[in-house]
Formats: sequence, structure tokens, C-alpha cells
Amino acid sequence: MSTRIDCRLALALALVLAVAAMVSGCSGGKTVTRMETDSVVDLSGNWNDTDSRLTAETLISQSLGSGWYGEYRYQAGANPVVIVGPIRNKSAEHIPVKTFVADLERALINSGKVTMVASSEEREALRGERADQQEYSSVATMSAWGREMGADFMLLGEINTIIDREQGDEVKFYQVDVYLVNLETNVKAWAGYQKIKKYVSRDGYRP
Amino acid sequence: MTQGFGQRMGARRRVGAGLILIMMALALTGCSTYAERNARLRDDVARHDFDKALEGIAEAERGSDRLLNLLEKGLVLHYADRWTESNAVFQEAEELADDLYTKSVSQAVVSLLTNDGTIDYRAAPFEMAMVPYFRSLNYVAMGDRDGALVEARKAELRLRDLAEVERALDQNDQESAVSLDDHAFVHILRGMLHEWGGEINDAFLAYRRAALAYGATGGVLGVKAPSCLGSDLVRTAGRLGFSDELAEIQTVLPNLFIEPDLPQGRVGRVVLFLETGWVPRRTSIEADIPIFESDRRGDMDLWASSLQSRYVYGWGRDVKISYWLRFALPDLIGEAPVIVGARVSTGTLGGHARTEPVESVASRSRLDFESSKDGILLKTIGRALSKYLAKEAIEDKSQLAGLLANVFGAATERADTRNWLTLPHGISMARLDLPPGTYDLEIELVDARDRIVDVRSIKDVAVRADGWVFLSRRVF
Repeated sequence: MSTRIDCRLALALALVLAVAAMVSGCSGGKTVTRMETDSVVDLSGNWNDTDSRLTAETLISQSLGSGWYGEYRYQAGANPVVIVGPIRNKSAEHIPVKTFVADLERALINSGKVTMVASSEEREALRGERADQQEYSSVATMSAWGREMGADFMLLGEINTIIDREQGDEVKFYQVDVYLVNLETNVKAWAGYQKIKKYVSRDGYRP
Repeated sequence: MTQGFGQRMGARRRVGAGLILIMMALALTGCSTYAERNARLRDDVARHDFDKALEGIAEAERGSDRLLNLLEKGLVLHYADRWTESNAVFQEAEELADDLYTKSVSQAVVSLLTNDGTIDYRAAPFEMAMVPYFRSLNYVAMGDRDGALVEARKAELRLRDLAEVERALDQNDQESAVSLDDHAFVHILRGMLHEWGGEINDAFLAYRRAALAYGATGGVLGVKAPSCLGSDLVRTAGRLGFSDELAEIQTVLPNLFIEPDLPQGRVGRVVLFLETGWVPRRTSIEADIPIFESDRRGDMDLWASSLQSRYVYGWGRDVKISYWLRFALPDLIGEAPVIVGARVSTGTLGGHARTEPVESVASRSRLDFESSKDGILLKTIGRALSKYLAKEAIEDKSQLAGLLANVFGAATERADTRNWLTLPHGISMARLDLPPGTYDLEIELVDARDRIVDVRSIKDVAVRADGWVFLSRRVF
């Protein structure tokens, strides 16, 4: 009898220990939940899609509501033609600048107050296509050369961060500065900025 | 009701067979060490068989080694010129490292009954400090200067974080012999990247940090400030008008400015990083000592002495073993690399340079290991005691279960041999200031006696005025 109890105990212990050993080497499962694209979720405290979209919308709203726009409309009698130029990431974080540029372009186009032209990269692709048309498209449908619309203004900018950390707590301060520059005169017609401040709290470091 | 002798023997045999099976299962599954599972990794990397190296890393992956696997994978992808993938993997590694440092170690309990390998690997600070170096080289290779500059900025923050972590981990609240905040190589790399990006103020500050760090830690690490650093400081300070700041450094570190900063007209700068050899790796030293039923445990000194002689000389057969004491401690073994540096030449006037050692990963690894040795020993003793006490407690209920606990404890006892295996032993750097043009670089790799071991070349290096070209090569 005692040997039988011993065996049961031994088996139970072996199972417990084996489970303990397995648990230490296993990773957890994964759960995927769909969510609204405009919902705000801050996981790491890093720059995210919400920051990108809201900053772009705020800056474009600021820009088109300021004096340069009315003045240009009054003088030219038409919407200004704008191109989004380089936005430099000068932060300590890999920010997907292309997404932010796309958000700026979308906000500008959707405002209906400006005419947007393609970026230099896009123009290269368009010119390639146009060259292709000269060879393979019918005369009636091919796009003509020399009819591109030149931009009046270029939107330039940069993203900077200031990060303050202490004992695992962190304050992240993003400042996005953008300038609208007259392409003919290099005059900065408008300057705007948007600031974002985030507090990221973490558990203290424990050895 | 009593069992006959034959029945009892049969039951014991079955249990004995079960124990052997459990031990085999443990040995085959959870108990191989990291070094054992990645035995082929270095050979695969040295042969440039990166696909096989990646396969090996994937096969060897265990939950608690996740961070280490990401670091190995990120570096292998870097050497395979798969820069985007390398950066993605390193990003994941950095996020995981941040996450792991802020979690309490609930696995400690399991580790007391098994081994330290069951605890999530959190990477030594000197290991994480190397990530921005490899990542910035990835961005350089992709032609993404802004990305490389982000790494330069991140590196500063990371060094600050690592210093904080180091202080938090230091239970005695003493400053380490070498502060990782003074990571001279990372600072000089930052300086050059900032200067390349036109961020002269940041460049000067980084060069200054590098100069002070080389002064503070160079002796311990066996490296000294490269000869170009003085010129870098003079040049950037000149552009900023920082004469007072420069004079201050010149007073503290006069030897740094022995080589005059001659005006050279408009030149471009070529930087070659040469990564040599392998960082020391951790191995396991194991000891098995039986504790006999007849052992007298009253006098601890006498008992310890008899256990020691048992370990050294063995023991006779006619004894009853009450406990199988097994402990495993890590050791660090490393070899000096065959190739220690290089002579670099463009074949043009003034186009010659020698590499200078700028970073000793091996020394940092050794210092890190030495500083953690006492803690590891203490933990190993603690683990041995825990296992022994667990066995004693279980044995009170059942002798067989106690035996099983002893077998399990002994079978799972392993030293934590994990470290980033694919890191180099050290990094040396050659700097060439060249007039604009396109050059072929000839690199003569030399051993410790300055004999040429191998010759490599890098073709068509385009140098622009005031431009920077960053190149790296790994040799074994």
C-alpha cells in the first residue's frame, strides 16, 4: 500500500514539476481584436497614428485659417497651389514620416481650399508614365508634355522631441514645426506648430 | 495488508524506469543550455551561411531566451545585408528589453527549483548598448540618414537608461568600476553621425562625452581615444565658436590634441569599422557530490572538507546516498581574435590609415561577468539549498517522492550560459580624410604581430566634399 501511495505522490510531483518546467519555457497565446481606425489607443507612449492624424488636421486648419490664405486669394483670385516637401524627423524615435506627410496632404486636399500637386517622387513616376504614353497611347488620349502645374507654396517641417526620464517614468514632448514657403520668393508665408506631451509611467526597475 | 518483496521490487523498478524517462525528457527538452542549443551558430555566421544561422536560431528558440534570440537574429540579418528586417527585429528586441526591465521577476521561484535559464534573459547593459551601433549602420546602408540620426539620439537616451538600470540592479548601491553611461565608442559614433547630419552642436557634445569617457574607462577596457577625436573636437568647436569649452577639454585631456588639426580644404571623411573575433562565451562548470546517509553534519567545516575531497577523489561503492548534490556555475571563456586590425589604403597620396581599437566588447563582457560572479554564486548556493530543503520536506511524506525531487533538482541544475554569441570581440576604426572622388579601398588585415593575414577590398567608395561615408566589415 505504502509503495502505491509513494507512486501516486511521485507521479503527482513529477506532473507538477514537469508543468512548472514547461510553463517556464512556454509563451502565451495571442488575441486579435478589430477596432475602429479612429479610436485612440496609447500603448508605448510613442508617436502613433492618432498623433499623426490629429497633428496634421490641426496644422492645416491653423494654416488655412491664417492671414496668408486670404491675402493670396485676394491677390491671385484663385486657390494657392501647394506641395508638401520634406518633413524631417529630428526626434529620438523612428516616426513614419511618410504617413504624416500623407495625413497633411489629405487634410489639405479635403479642405477644398488649396490645389495640391504631386511630390517630386510622384512626379518622376508620372513623367515615366507620360513618356510611355507618347510611345504607346493614341494621339487623342495621350497626355501632353509641358502642362504640369507648378506649386506656389511648399510646406516644410520637422518633428522634434524632448524626453525627460527618471526612475522609469517618462515625459515625452513632441513639437512639430511646419512652414509654408513661397517657392518664388523663399518668403515664409506662415509658420505653425503643434505640441504633444505624454506622460509614460512604468513600474520601477526590479532586479 | 503487506506487499511481498517481489511486488515491492517490481513497483520500484517501474518507478525507477519512470525516473529515468523523466530525466531523459528533461534533458531532451528544457534542460539543454543556450550555448548547447546554438553550438553551430558562430560557425554558420563565420561561413557567411546566414540562412542556416537564422534557421538554427529559430530552432533553438525558447520562451525565456526571446530577447537573446532577437538580438542574435537582428545581428545575423545585419551581416546578411537584410537591413530592414534587421532593424525590425532589433526594434522588437529593444521594446522587449524595456518591457522585461520593468517587470518583477515572478519566475524567480521556478528558477530556485530548476535553474536560472528559466528566467527571461534581460541582456547585459553592454549588450543593449551595441544595438544602436548596428541599427545605425543598417540605416546608413539603406541611405537613410535621418534614420541613422534617430539611432544617434536614441543611443544617448539608451545609455542614460542603461546607467539607471545598472544602478537599480546594483544591490550594494555602489558605482560600477566602469559606468556604461561612459560608453566612449557609442558617443564617438553619435558624434560622427550628428556631424554627418549637420547637427554640429550635438556632434561636439558627443565628441566631448567620448573624450571624457575614453579618459575614464580606456585603461580598464584596454582602448584609448582614437587619434581623430582631438581633430573632431577642434573642428566642431571651431564651427560653433566654443573656444572656452575646447580649452577646458584640452586642459583635462592634453594628450588628445597631440596631432595638429591641419586645414585640409574640402574633404570627405571615410570611416571603416572593423569588427574582429567573437565576444567571450559563457560555459558551464558542473559538480556532482553525493551526500551520504552516514555524513556527520554537526561540524560544517569538516563536512565541507569531506565533500570537497569526495568531489576531487571520488567515493567508494559501499555507501548509502541520501542526497545527490549537483551545482552548476557559469564561466567565461574567450579567445583573442587572430585579426586585430587593418591597414587601409586608397593607393593615393595621403590615403592611408591604420585601424585603432575603439571598443572592447570582450573587456566589457568580462567586467560584467566579474561583477555578477558573487551574485551568481550566492544564487547557486541558494538554489542548491532550496532543492535540498524541498527534497527533505517531500521526503517526510514519501521517500520515493523525495528521491524524485532530488533527481529532478539534479537533472534541471544548469548554469545560465546565455550571452549574445554573435557579438564581436572588439571594434577598431580607421578614418580617412579624402578629397572628393571615387576610391577603391584596399584593406590589409593584420594579426597581433602586424603580419598580413588577409587582404580585402571595397570598391567604388564615393567621397563628397564635407560628406561622410560609413563602412563596416566583420572578420573572424
